[in-house]
This record gives sequence, C-alpha cells and structure tokens, in this order.
Amino acid sequence: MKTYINQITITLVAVLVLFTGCESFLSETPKDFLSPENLPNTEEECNMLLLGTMTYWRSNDYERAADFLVECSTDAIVNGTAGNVMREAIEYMTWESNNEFIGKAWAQFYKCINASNIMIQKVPLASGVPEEKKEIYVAAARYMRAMSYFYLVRLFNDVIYMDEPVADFTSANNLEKTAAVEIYKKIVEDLEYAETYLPVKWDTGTERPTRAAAKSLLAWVYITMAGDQVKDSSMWAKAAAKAKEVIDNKTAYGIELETNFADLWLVANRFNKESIFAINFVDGLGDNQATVEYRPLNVGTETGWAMLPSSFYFMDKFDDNDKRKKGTFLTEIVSEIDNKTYTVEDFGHPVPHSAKWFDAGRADFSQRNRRTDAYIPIIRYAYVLLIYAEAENEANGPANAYGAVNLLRERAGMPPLSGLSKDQFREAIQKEWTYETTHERLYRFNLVRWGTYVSTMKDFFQVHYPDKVGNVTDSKLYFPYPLDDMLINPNL
Amino acid sequence: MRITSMKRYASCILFFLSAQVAVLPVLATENTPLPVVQQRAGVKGVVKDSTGEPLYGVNVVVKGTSTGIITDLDGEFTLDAPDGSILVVSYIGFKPQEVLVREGQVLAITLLEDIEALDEVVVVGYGTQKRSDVTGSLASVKGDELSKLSTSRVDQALQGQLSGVLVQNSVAAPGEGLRIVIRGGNSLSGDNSPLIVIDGVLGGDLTMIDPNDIVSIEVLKDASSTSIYGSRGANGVIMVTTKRGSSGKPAVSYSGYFTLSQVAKKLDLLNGADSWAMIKSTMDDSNYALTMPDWFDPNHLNNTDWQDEIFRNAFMTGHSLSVAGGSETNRYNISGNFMSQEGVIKQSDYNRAGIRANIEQDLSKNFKIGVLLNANRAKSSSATINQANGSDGGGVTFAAIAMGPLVPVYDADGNYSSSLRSGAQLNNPVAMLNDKMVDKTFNYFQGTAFAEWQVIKGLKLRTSWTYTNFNRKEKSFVSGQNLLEAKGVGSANIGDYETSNWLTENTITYDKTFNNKHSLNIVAGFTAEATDYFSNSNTAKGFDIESLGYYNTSLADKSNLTITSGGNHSAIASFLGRVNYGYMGKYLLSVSFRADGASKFAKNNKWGYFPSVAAGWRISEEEFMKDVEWLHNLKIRGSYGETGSQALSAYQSLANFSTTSYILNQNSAVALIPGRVPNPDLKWETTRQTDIGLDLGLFAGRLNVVVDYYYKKTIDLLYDKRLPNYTGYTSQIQNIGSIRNKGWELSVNSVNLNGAFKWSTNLNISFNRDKVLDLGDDDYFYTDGSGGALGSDFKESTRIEVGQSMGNFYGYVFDGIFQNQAEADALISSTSVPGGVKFKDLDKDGEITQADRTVIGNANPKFVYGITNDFSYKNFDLSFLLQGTYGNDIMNLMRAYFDEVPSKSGRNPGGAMFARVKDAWTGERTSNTQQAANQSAGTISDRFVEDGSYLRLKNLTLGYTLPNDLTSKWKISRLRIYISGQNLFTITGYSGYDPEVSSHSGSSTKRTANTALGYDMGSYPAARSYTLGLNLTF
Repeated sequence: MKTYINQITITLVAVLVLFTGCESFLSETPKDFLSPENLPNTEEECNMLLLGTMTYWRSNDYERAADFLVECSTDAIVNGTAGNVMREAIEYMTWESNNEFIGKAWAQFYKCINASNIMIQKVPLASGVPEEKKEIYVAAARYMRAMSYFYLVRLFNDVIYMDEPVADFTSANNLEKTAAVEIYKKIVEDLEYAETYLPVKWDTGTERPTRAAAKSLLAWVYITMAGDQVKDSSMWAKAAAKAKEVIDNKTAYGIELETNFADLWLVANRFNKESIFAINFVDGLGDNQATVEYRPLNVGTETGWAMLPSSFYFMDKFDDNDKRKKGTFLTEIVSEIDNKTYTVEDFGHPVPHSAKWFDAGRADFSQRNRRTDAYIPIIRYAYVLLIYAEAENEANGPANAYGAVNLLRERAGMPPLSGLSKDQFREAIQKEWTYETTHERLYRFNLVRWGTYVSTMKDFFQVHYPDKVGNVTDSKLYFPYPLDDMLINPNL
Repeated sequence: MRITSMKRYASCILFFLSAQVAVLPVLATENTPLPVVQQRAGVKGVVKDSTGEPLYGVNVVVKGTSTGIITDLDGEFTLDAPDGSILVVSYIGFKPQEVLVREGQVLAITLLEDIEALDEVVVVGYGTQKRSDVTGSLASVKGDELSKLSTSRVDQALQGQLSGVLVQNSVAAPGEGLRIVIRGGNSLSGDNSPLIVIDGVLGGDLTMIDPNDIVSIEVLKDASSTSIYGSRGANGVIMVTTKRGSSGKPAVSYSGYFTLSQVAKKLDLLNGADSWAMIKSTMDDSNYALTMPDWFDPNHLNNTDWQDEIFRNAFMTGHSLSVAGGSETNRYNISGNFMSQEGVIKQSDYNRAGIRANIEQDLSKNFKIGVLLNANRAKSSSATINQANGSDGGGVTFAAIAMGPLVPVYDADGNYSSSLRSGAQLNNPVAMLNDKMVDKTFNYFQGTAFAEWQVIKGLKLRTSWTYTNFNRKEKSFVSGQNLLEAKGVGSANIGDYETSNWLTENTITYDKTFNNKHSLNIVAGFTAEATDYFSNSNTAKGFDIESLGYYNTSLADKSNLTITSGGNHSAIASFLGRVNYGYMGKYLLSVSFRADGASKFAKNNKWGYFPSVAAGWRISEEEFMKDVEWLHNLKIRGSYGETGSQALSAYQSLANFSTTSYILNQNSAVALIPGRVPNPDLKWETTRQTDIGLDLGLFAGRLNVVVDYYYKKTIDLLYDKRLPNYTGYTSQIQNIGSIRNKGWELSVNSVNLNGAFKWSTNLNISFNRDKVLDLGDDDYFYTDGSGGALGSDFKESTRIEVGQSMGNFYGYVFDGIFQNQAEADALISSTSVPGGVKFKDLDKDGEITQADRTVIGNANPKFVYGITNDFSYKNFDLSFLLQGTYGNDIMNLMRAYFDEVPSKSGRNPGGAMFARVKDAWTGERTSNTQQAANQSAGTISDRFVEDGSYLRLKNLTLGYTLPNDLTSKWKISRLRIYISGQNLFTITGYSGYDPEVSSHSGSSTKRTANTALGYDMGSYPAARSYTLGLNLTF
C-alpha cells in the first residue's frame, strides 16, 4: 500500500514537472509564412515588397472602381447593368457614401500606401542591402505612395494623410483629414525624391517605376495643382518644364510614340514603348477583367458583361476622320468563332462600346473565363505631350505648344493645329485630351481640373436623363468618404 | 528549442508510465489459473421475465469458464455444462442469477427486473456514470437504434433521434458533411460543430465509423458535462463508444443491404411549348427580347428534360462483418465494413471500407492493457453543386435547371449545345458531368494503446496514447473542350492535405461509497497533444493531350504550373478534474474543472480555465415519495459552467506577410504584401451555460420524460473588428461581442404496449432562440448569400444585427405588381412600370431606396423534432421515424433567376422558367404575384423567401426474424431480413429540391458558413431510397 502511495506521489510530481515544460510546448513559431519582424534584409526581399505595392493596382478594386468613379460618372460611359443600385447611383449621380466603388477604391489606394509606408520605414534598416540600392527601393515606394495619394486627392479632395505605418490602431480611429493642397505638397516631395533616385532603366523588366515615370507623374501632379482644385497658377510653368524634361530625354528613357493608335490596345503589344507606367498581367495570374466588363452582350460565344457601354452622344463628339474614333469606339464585332458580324444594333445595349479594352489576345475570347492579359496604362507618353502642350499654352501661350500636340494629331490622321489664340488653343487641347484618352480612367479628373465637370454633365443629362438634371451639382465634384470609415472616424 | 521541450515532455510522461509498469511483475504472479472443465453434458433451459415473456439475447455462461451462449427468440438455450456446475444468467436491466446445473433437467429461469440497473450506465467525459446519478444534461442513443436505420453514416443516423441536436443534411450528395449544431450556434466565425469523442479520443470523425460498430452515442449538452473538455466543449460533445468483446465463444455478425435511390422531387419547369410562348411574348420589346439562335425553329420545338439527363437511379450496398468474443482474460471485437454508394446525380459516388479492432488483455486481476484500432479509406467523386452562374458557368444542378427545354443536349454537329442565350456564362450540364472529374480520397488511421491499473479497490490509473493520421487527397481535372472554367486550356489540380496528431491522456479515478451513504467519484487527469498539418497543392493548365486527366500533369504547359505548400503545428496541454458526490442517491453534486493551454492562443492568454458545478435532487428517493407507486423516478437538476471554443486557427494571432505574385520581366514573380494585424491578446470564446432539467419516470419506468431549459451566453466572440480602411487593413481579429442561445428541450420515451404486441415511442422536440447581443462598436454586418453570383444587389442579403437572430435575411418587401401607370408614377423605383415588381416603401419617402430594406425571413427553425415508433409482434418488427423542422425560411435564389423570362441581358442565363412564370401579368388586374414577361424578377426581396418547414418520413422499416427452429438447423442463432424506405415522403411548402438545403454550410469561410444560413444556390436533390437488408448472427 505504501509503495503505491509513493508511486502516486512520484507520478504527481512528474505531472508538476510537465507543467513547467509547457511554456515552450505551447509557444508558436510560424512555419509557413514570413514574419514582418525580420524582413527585408536583401535586395530580393526589397523587390518582393515593391512588387507587393503594385499588386493592389492589378486588383479589380482599382480597375473596376476607377471605371465607375472616373468614367461612368461622366458622359463617356453609361451604366450597363439595369437595376443594380450601386451602379445606377454612379450613372445618375446619386451616389452616397455607402457606394461599393467608393469604398473599394479608397481601401485599395490606402492598402498600397500602407505597403509603401512599411517599405519606406523598413528598407533603410535592411542589413544586406547597399545604401544606393536602398535609395532606389525607397524611391520606388515613394512613387507608389505618391501615385496612390494623387488618385485619392482627386477623387475625395481632403483625405487622411499618413506617411508611416499605423503603430497604434486605437488612435488611428480619430485621425484628422489633411487639406488637399498639403497632400499635393507631400506628393511633390515624394516624386522629387523618386525622380532623383529611381533608375532610368531597371536591370530587368519594364514593370517597375522609372525616373521617366516619376517625372511624368510629377508633371501631371503640377498641371493638376494648376487646375480648379488648388488653383496654383505657378504650376503651369512647372508642369511644362517637367513634361519637357521627359520629352527631351525620351531617347534616353527609351520612350517613343506608337505608330498606330489602335495598336496601343492590343494584348500582343502591351509592353510597348509609349507606355511609361502600366499595370501588367500574365496568363493565369490576376487576369484582367476590364475586357469582359467593357465587351458588349449578345455577340455570340464572345459575349462580355457590358457593364460599361458608351453612347452615340459621346461618340458623336469625335471627328469621323480621326483614327482615334475607330480606335476608341467599338461598333462592330467580326467573330471568327461563328463567322458572324455583329453590328451595334445586335449588341445587348445597341450603343457603341469601348474599343480600347476589346482585344483578347487570342482567337476565342470565351476561353480563360473571359479574362485577358490586356494592360492598364497609368501614364503613357501621349499624356506627357498633352500635359506639355496644355501647360506651355497656359504659361507662355501656344507658340511652343503646337509641336507636342500635333504629333498626336498626325498619328490620328488629322491636320495639325496652328494659328490659334491662347483660349482657342485651350479649347482645342481639351478636346485632344478627350480624343486621345477616353476610357483610360482619367476623363473625370480632367473635367474637374478644367472646371467643366458640372456643365459637361448638365449637357449630358439634358439629353439622356432630362428628369434628373437636378442631380448634377457642385457637390458632385468629389466623392463622399466611404461610410465604413466615417462610422469609425468622426473626423471624416 | 521546441524539440528539446517535447523530449523533456515525453520523458516526463514515460516516467509516469514507468511508475505503473514497475509493479507489473508483482501483479502478474497474482494471476489465477484458468479452471479446467472436465465433464460435459447438454443443458437445456428457457429464460423468461416476470410476466412470462421469453427473453431473447440473455447471456448464459458456465461460471468460471468462457463457455456461454445467448438465448434465442423463444428464450431458449442449450449449453454444454458439467453436472453440478453453476450457470450465470445475466441480461441488461435484470438482476443476474446463478443456477445450479442438474443433469437432464430443463431449467426454467425467471429473471427479475433490476430497478437500479435499469439506470443504464452512460458514458460521460473521462468516465461513466449511472444515469440516475447524472446531474448534467445528456442524451443518448443505442447503437442498434442507429444501425437499424440502414444508413451507412453515423451522423445521418443521428438526425431526429436526440433532443437539442440539430442535424441538417444540408448537402445531400453522397459523402458530404452534415451540419450538426447542439443547442444553437455559439460562434460567428469559429466552428459551431460539436466535439466528437470516439472511445475517449478527442477530435474523431463520424464519417469514418460504421454504425454497426457502435454500442452507444451520448451527446453532452450542458456546461457541467462538457466543461471537462474545456476550450473545446462549448459546442457540445458527441461521445461515441464502439463495441467491445465479452468473454464467451465467438459471435459472428453480418449485416448487409442493397438500396435503390431516386430523386425525391423534380422541379416544376415550363415545358418547351410554354417556354417558347413566354419568350415569344417578349419579342416586341427589343430591349428585353432574347435573340434566338440560328438553329432555333419555332415549328419544331425541343422538349429536353435536363433534370432527367443528370439524374439516375442510384444503387448502394453496404456490408459489415464482426467477430466478438474472448476468454477469461481477454476480449476482442474485430470488424470490417464496406459500402459503396452512387449519388442520384450521375458521376457522384462515395465508397468506404474500414476495419476496427478493439482488443483487451488482462495481465492480472488488477491490470489490463488494450488497443483500439481503426483504419478507413473513403473515396468520393463529386459533381459541382451549390454554385450559381458566374464566369465558371454554374454548377450541375443550376445548369440543368437553367438550360431549358428548348435546347437539345447535342447540337446539329453532335457537340454539346450551349445556352439559348448566346454567349451566356452557362455550361452544358451533361458536358459538366463528362468533362469534369473531382475525386477525393480519404485515408484515416487511428490507433490507441492503453493501460489500466486498479491500484486498490476504487482507485484506478489509466494512461492512453493515441496517434491519428488523416490524409485527404483531392484530384480534379477539367477538360478544356467545353467548360467555361477551363476553356481552351484544360486544368488539373492535385491537392494533398495531411493532419497527424498524437494525444496522451492520463487519469486517476477514485470511486468509493462510504457507510452506504456517501458515494464519491473523483477523476483527475493530465492530457497533452500536438497536431501537424501539411498541405501541398499543384495546378497544371494547358493540356494538349487530355486523355490521361489528372494522372499525368507533366503533359501540361510547363509555364503554367502553380505549386504551393503550407503547414502548421499546434499543441494543447490540459489538466482536468471532477468530483461527483452523492448522498443516499438522493442529493447529487458534481464539480468539474479543466485548464487548457493552447499554442493557438496568443502569448498574453496562453491558458484558459473552465469550471462547472451541477446539483441534482432525486425527489423520488425521498421517504415521503416512497408511497407514490406510479412515480418511478423524479429528479430535478441544475448546472452552471463555462466552456470554450478554440475557434482560432494556428498562428492567427501573429502578424505576417502574405505571398502573392506580380509581373517582372513579363513573367510571374513573388510579391509580398502586409497580411494580418497581430493580436497578442487573442484567446478562446467562452460560453456560459445554465441548465435546469427534470427527469421523470412513471409507471415502473414505462414512461420517461426529460425536460431541459438552458440559457447560454457566448462572450469574447472572435470577430473581425473593422479597422478604418485608411490604415491599409480591413480588420483585426479580436475577442468582441456576445451571442446568446436559450431554449427548451423535451424528450419522451414510452413503452405503450408491452405484451405480445410491443409498441414503444420516442419523441423529442427542441426549441432554440438565438440572439446577437453585442458586436463591439458595430450594430450589424452583412454576408453575401449569393456568393457574388447575383451582383451587388444581393451582397447584403444576410444581416447580422445586434438584438436579432443570426439567420436573418435582409431585403425589400414584395408588394405585388404595378397594375397601371398611375401606380407606377406614385412610387419611384427602377421597376416602376406597369407590370413591374413593386416593393413596399417602408420609409414612405415615395421612392424605393436602401432604407426600405428590412428583415424578410429567418433561416433558424422555431423548433425541430423527431418521432420514432417501434412495433414488434412475434417475429415481425416495424419502426418508423418522422422528423422535421418548423418555422425556418429558405432564400430560394433559384427564383431570382428562373422566375423571369430569359432576356438578352437579364439574370436568367438560359432558357428555363419555373412554372409560375406562366401567370405573368398581362394587363391590369391579371396578376399581382408574377411580373410581366418583359420585366425582371427584381432585387432581393421576400418573394424569394419560402417557408422551409417540413415533416419527413425519414425511415420506415419492416423486419422479419426467421423462426429459431428453422435457423438453428443452419447453426444460425439469428437471421433477420428487412425492407426499409428512406425519405418516403416529405410534407413541405418549399418549392426547391430539398428543404434541408443550406448552400453555404460547407463554405470554407466559417463566418459565411455560420451566418449565411438557408440559401439555395442550386443544391443536390434529396433522394428517396428503398432498401433490402439482412442481419445475421452465428
């Protein structure tokens, strides 16, 4: 009996000993993911983080949200999904803060900002990366951050500005907004750093931001600051000068205009030299849905979703002789699958659709879940030429502005501009912007910049929705903040 | 670091063991030699109960030997026993008797009912208890109740059997998991399934057990019975006990069946002529009208029945064979089973084979060791279901509804035809069956070795060690020929997922009664376990040669291979204890406790503590109640305790970088993005439960009633706390919010007739009400019940809101059809035209806006019930099980598609319509329920919500046991044949395939699975089955 009791005692002691061993038994060491605490250390890891900041732009939350916010909220695109509350609200200009596209775009840009902030904070600490390399990756991250804020400030005006990752999530709930003009200054700082340290060309690939991209974006920021939002007219000259830097160095930067406007939109030609910064896709990885979203309904097996048709009203703004009309609007599909020709009358919505997001890059569009590898240009050289021409005219008059814009008109098969007054040139260049860049997710920004958004929309509503003209007001120049964040942060 | 700690850990446990093993040799010498039987003679006898009814299955053993037999149907037995030896006659529920054998004498034995023993012994956590002593709430069902349902699956067999246990056959496909929820779901984003404990081993798999192997299933429901399972006990515990052998000559049992199944119900769709009439009626509206394909000829209409194309008469067979027996010192039960099931949808199959061995050896009078082994393999092929259309083209059932009668299966060239609407994102369902393979194999092994040492009378040490390995392989191939999801490329996916777990449980039990008054039972224990998970998944695309399917992915395009892997490690260590005290069997008290330490818990909250207390008063044992003859048992019991739910996955409290990819130099390159926001305080969810119950036994135990009321509140819910999006994150998982469930349970067991004609009834009914009490700073959140297929209108179709039940549907209230222009002008909405769908303007602002949405239904039943009736007369037995739910709603999303006439741009992707579309509005006062043919069925509203209540004849079985004098000639002790029908009828108002549907119940996102209840997205139809079966015992 006594031995038993001894043995039980020993056993109990053994159990107690186990208790002390439990601490390490119950600790957790991640096996299948990387912990942020010890990253990055090498240049490869810096690069992985940089590519990470770019993935957000490849998300549907950028592309589709921008299609609705920047194109569908204008006269260039109409909503193709009848009965869809969110999309109709954009179309009829009755959007509210709970609109999904507002929330998605907002979240997407801030995710990129957060990822960039982490890089900007952590890359300088990377032990295995030479200083000059660190500067390049910080510059690239600052480029991505500047680009994100540039979209935010144009969509929402004053927004919350953060230039480092959130350390305390509780106090983050009460952050104050920063005025748009202050955010523009921060964007300029970021891009000035970026243009200094970004390479003219990376060792491999054209996907990452380059010096030309930083300079081009900076020119675009300047010309926007000169516009209606900030009204800083000193920026015209800066915009012109920055754009000219790009134009003057285009050979060094490896930039040139594509010969044929329509070729710009071919999947096979997506790594073209006119593109300065773009979002890219390859087969099987984050396929691009823009093509199926823009494609008409009811065109045989090659049918799309027709979420974003255009209109005759808008197409009629284009000159029939302008090659960009055919390059921009889709009015006929010749299907190689069923050997039929579908005209605009056959389309589910019998209106012109966008031709820029049409090419599938393969014979049968219905393959691969109707996704494609079409690229999404953020800045192409034509924009730089337009920025230069517009800014130069505002700063110094049209004399030196013709050359840039006439390159584009020449490509479009149109006679060169000449002999215009400053005001006439302004009117002409605004039209050129539209002919050149329609459906490229920047039209709304131009209208707001020029102060013509409300008048343009009133004209459109008079024709398309005469009963809803009252919806077009100055309050629609910027979008409301997303409801989710307003509910958390009373300062929004 | 961790390895050393594990070694230290294991060595400690070995030390614990060696303390016991050290005394083994001493004990072994105390072993008594087996008695030798020297002389044999035939003894005949008959065993009856006090009413004179023969007792079947009574154990008759020659005392001190392993010689024994069981009585036949007439209560008779013949046994070789020496003259003068003693027979031990025992039978459950009766007092055992010893009878002296006199040569030549026919023994007439009358067994007396043992009132005390009628209190069967039930299995509780880490022990057993007499039912009369139980102070917690538990329900139990015997194995033969389950196996007689002739279902191959234990979880299915539980449906309708037990109060408080909701078993929902939410995916009726063979081999698919069921939804089991005990007393309502506790968690928003964690698993709400109960803990499965098989023979004491935590975390078992009910699909891997043959119902024929089961002795009993106990379901622990209240906190006092589950808190001993600590952080895994909150959802209730299902305890499965498998069969053990008993001393005696081998008993060989076989049971087998053949089943034929058919689809129980086909959907009511318009035929070819009616479909064309409806489509034709929209032709004037060029904005709406479908463009008919070139091959379409209105003079020669097709009338394809696509449902017939995908359904079949399905065959199923199952066989189980077991041998049980033992000698004086050992007992064994070895069994094997095989079943093979065809689904009622072609190409969907399930088969399973398994072996089980439960072996025990007494090393001495006080020491025994044993092993429990279970090895199973299952294989399934599945058809795509619960998937509405999207760019992948929909699931098989969705497509079979959608295609419509006007489209032939094959076009003029012999190819699979495509939808009536050109370019629609809809697959040909027959092509889906033939061009897509989804095969899964499951390998399951569990082995337990245990040792039990009775140190002194009443004091028992037990240690058990279990290893479990579960391997799941998923192999799929989609041809690039026809199906949208892989068109032009072909796609193979191979996934390999392995979970392995070791578990040790070490307990001390002390059981003693003092002075015949104070009974004491103490359990204390220590357990530890660790789990490793590893996954490996390969996707290959671009097959030029498709004939080898997924068997040779090296035929795929090399640049299009995706290879991923992942894995994790988790560990749990626990201390547990329980004290049960009873005074004179009248006053009962139980206190239990468990401390769980888990690696999944964040660093600031590594240990959770789960106490409980329960008390019972057996009023019927009081002196003043002794005279109440009709009152057999009356017990009041109450309990309170805390249990937990781990709800977390490994590493969930830690920050990470997620791996994704971007393009570099025109090729894919690895990219890293910020992932989770860490939470160093993350811990378990805690459920506090109060239970008050009453056990009532009347008329010598012929009528038993159990009533329970419970109230449980779950706090510290794991909740994705929303962060402002400008932080760059969406949410952080935190312990926020609470939910409560409360309800009543009633079960009645009654022996209605007890003579030659026997009739007993078992009825159970459960009422549960759940309510979200707190979501932190949030008032509500939405879940997308359409899974995205129906666009943003349906994204907020389920709303989880403070103060409301978890299963609320949210949307507009259907208010008929706009009858004329004046009505349409009076209310601004996107469907405001005569013939359009009208919704109620709840905020009376003259316009239909999002503010007009409200709760439009609830997927949780008001109550669920089951009624079993058993009859027997002579050699015949008959039983049936009725089972159902009441008061639950179903969101039939199929109606959002097929309650409207196909159009060029509407929702309906094919050419099919439900029959009600024929009643379309055609002018003022023609219809106030069905919109005009050229109008959409409208956004989410209660017109898609249907009553999901049902009453189902789940099982009807008629059996006949062959007379013993016939079968004994063939050395068969029992031979029963039976016919049985499952789901012979269902009474329901639901228009879809099956009112048990819940398309998201298998969602990998638990939050969706727990909140988006009651959706029908194109489900697997329920089957009606007919079975012919056989039970045989040698």
